[in-house]
Amino acid sequence: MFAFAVGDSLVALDAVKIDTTDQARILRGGQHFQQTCLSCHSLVDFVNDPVAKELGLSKEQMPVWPEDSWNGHPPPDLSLIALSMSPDWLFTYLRTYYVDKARPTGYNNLVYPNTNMPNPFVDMQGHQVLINPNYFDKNHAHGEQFWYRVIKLKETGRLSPAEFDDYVDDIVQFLTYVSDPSVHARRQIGPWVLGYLTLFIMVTYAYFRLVGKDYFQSPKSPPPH
Amino acid sequence: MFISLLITGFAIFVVLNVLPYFKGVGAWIDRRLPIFSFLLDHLSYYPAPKNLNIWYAFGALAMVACAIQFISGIWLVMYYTPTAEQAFSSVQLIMREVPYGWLVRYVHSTGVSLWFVVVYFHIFRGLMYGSYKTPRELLWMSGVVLLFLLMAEAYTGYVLPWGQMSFWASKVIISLFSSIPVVGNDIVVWLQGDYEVSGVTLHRFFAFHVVGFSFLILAMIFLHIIMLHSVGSNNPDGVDIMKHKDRNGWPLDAVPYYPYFVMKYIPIILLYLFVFFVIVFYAPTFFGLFLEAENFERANPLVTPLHIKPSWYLSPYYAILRSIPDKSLGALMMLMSIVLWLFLPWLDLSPVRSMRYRGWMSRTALITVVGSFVLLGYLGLQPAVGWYLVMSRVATLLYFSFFLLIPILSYYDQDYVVPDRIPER
Amino acid sequence: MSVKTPENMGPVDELKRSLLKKTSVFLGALGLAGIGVPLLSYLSPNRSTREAGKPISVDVSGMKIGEQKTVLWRSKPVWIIRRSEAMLASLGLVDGKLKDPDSDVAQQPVYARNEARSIRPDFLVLLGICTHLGCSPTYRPDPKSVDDTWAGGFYCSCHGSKFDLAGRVFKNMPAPSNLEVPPYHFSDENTLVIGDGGA
Repeated sequence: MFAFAVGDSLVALDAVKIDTTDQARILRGGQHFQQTCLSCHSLVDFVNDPVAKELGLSKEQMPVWPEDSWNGHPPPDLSLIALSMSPDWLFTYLRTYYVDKARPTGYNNLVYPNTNMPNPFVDMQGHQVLINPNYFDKNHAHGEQFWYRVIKLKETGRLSPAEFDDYVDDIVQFLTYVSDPSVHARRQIGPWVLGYLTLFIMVTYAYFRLVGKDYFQSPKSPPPH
Repeated sequence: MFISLLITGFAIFVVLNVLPYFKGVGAWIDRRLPIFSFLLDHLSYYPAPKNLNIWYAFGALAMVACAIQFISGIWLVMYYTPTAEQAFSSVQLIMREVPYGWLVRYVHSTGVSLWFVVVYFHIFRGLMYGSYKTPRELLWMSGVVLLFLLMAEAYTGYVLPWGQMSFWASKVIISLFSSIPVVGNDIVVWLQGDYEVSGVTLHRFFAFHVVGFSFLILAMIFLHIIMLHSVGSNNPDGVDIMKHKDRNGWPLDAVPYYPYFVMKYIPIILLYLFVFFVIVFYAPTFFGLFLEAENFERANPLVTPLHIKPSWYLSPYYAILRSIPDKSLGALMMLMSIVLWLFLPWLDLSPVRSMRYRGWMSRTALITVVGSFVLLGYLGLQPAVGWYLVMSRVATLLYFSFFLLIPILSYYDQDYVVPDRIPER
Repeated sequence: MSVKTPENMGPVDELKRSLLKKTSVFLGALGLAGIGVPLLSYLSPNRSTREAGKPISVDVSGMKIGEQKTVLWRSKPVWIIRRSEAMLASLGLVDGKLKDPDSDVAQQPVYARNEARSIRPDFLVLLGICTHLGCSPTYRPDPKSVDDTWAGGFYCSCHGSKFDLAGRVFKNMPAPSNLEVPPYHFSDENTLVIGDGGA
């Protein structure tokens, strides 16, 4: 119902199912993050979190980029990326790099056209190539086309496509947790608070029904004041 | 945690059971400072029309919402830092490092949206049952002022997290003042305290949010209730209950506010809290409607987000602004969309209050203005292109036509006969 | 004002009514307590503050005899003083003038409850906060520097409290007890860990 555009994606976003209870998966995603992303991206707000402690993430490991590095586009901090973009966006974005000789990095992206980020997964995913170059003329700025109708895996990397999807999924699960670690506490406290309120509503409503009888179901009694 | 909860609960229970033994002390104080009798007069003995329905709970809910914002707000200020460098990260400090900081912050961010929900329903109830009509004109006007203050409070608060939307929304709204002839640009610089929206602006917004508007709101709510209790509540039938009183001067169609209405509204308040906490615990961003995705990005004066949209509760006014292809006129009409409501008591010429006894013309007018307002709210969140723009122009026309047509419609409308007493159900 | 009992209300109704009312009040009180828990927890030190309050290590290898070193631990000044033989000898001489010469009051961890009030006699570790009203006393090691009978110690300039070179308070001083010894241990010959009493 509420479809809010994030970025200027040309393709429809794949839905990713976020499971905040799968602690093992969040940790696995964190390890993938350390291998693949941490060399450029920091998670400044996350360093004191218990999960960061478990992963051995510390403030000293976080890269710090001057404003003018990378031609004025330093890699952003990713502490809140899953909230400012969305898990779906991340999941699709990270998997839709394709070979484009016109870009300085050699790769372009369908979800985030002309992204400055080099393809981080070349050795794992392999190369994807454009199979439908006319796509850009016809479907400009419409997030309707499916990315797999536009690009195709030409050369498989170290991981099979299914393994690679899992790998990226893990990272997305991790980043989603990073963006709001309160989710554990919320899920824990939530049922208690709501249960308490339900009970309270029932008791006070029953009491109100009794009070109501004084006024409206016994016309013989005088108005009480 | 659970044990401390039980102990505290037990302690409060004991206190409540011991308090009645100190009645003498209360009477002693009350003779010198009539605080208790004041509270009793207004919360207990207040004669409320016996047919007040669920729509009348929204006033009480608005007070609850206000209290929630004040308490959570005081707690947030303990860690929030109103500087351009620190604001964004201090919010993250609250969210991640401070014990239960996330709860306090989500309560505050959810609270503002639900406060507006409640207030809009409260206003709609006033329109539906004619609560603005004599002798409640000032009461209605104080409500319009309150809405305006609430919007100012919400807007200044929205700027504080200093995300992308905070920054650009504050820029857009402040720029509206530049449409004032001659001195507009100087006023903008004066408001910003800088040549551009900056940390200086943030700091003064903080002052207005935390001390300025919030205390005006408290004072205005107090006046609102004083006015209500001096003229008495309207009711769904729009019948004047003061016409028929018993020997002791008690209105025959009234019951004391306590216990009947207090007990009627407490489950509703709890139901409100239930909805409130479902959002806080399970959907705190409410699909990007209560906390916008773009605002999780630090303010950047060099990059404008692709789609600037206001918070949902301000979007109707924003849609009006955008639909008028002239800067000054747009800003003026945006202002008028609220100011015109001040004159409603004199624009509506019908002697009948409640829509229950009004004719089809008045009813249509009400449905039109409410419908166009809701439509504008939806359109204000969409990009102003193509059909969206056409529709928002139509909705703007419909919205303002209400103020032109209501004197005529209400004058010629065929109203029904209003009963003398509140009819038995 | 009291609600009058309608004639048709039986005793069962009355019991139900009082039960529901009491349950409502109890649930309401419980709710207030529930609101209190997060609001009060919020006020306690946050995670960064607790992180910053962790034990600190201090290298004491370079300290000369008689030297005082002040470090900050949990935002409080902690003194490390390397005492000479003469200083240690002075401790026994002032016993009679002290309020609590045997450190009976628990102002120190058990392992520092001895005459020198330290693990190693040559290194004194003290919280530099006067037990009177929280001023920070000054280190005055030289005899007769404060008064004629002064054998070296700490002097609080705020309200005149005097302490000996083990941080023990003299009799009839505003300060009620000896200076506090924080938990500490030596992780090796030259490294002092403040904030942690060791294994």
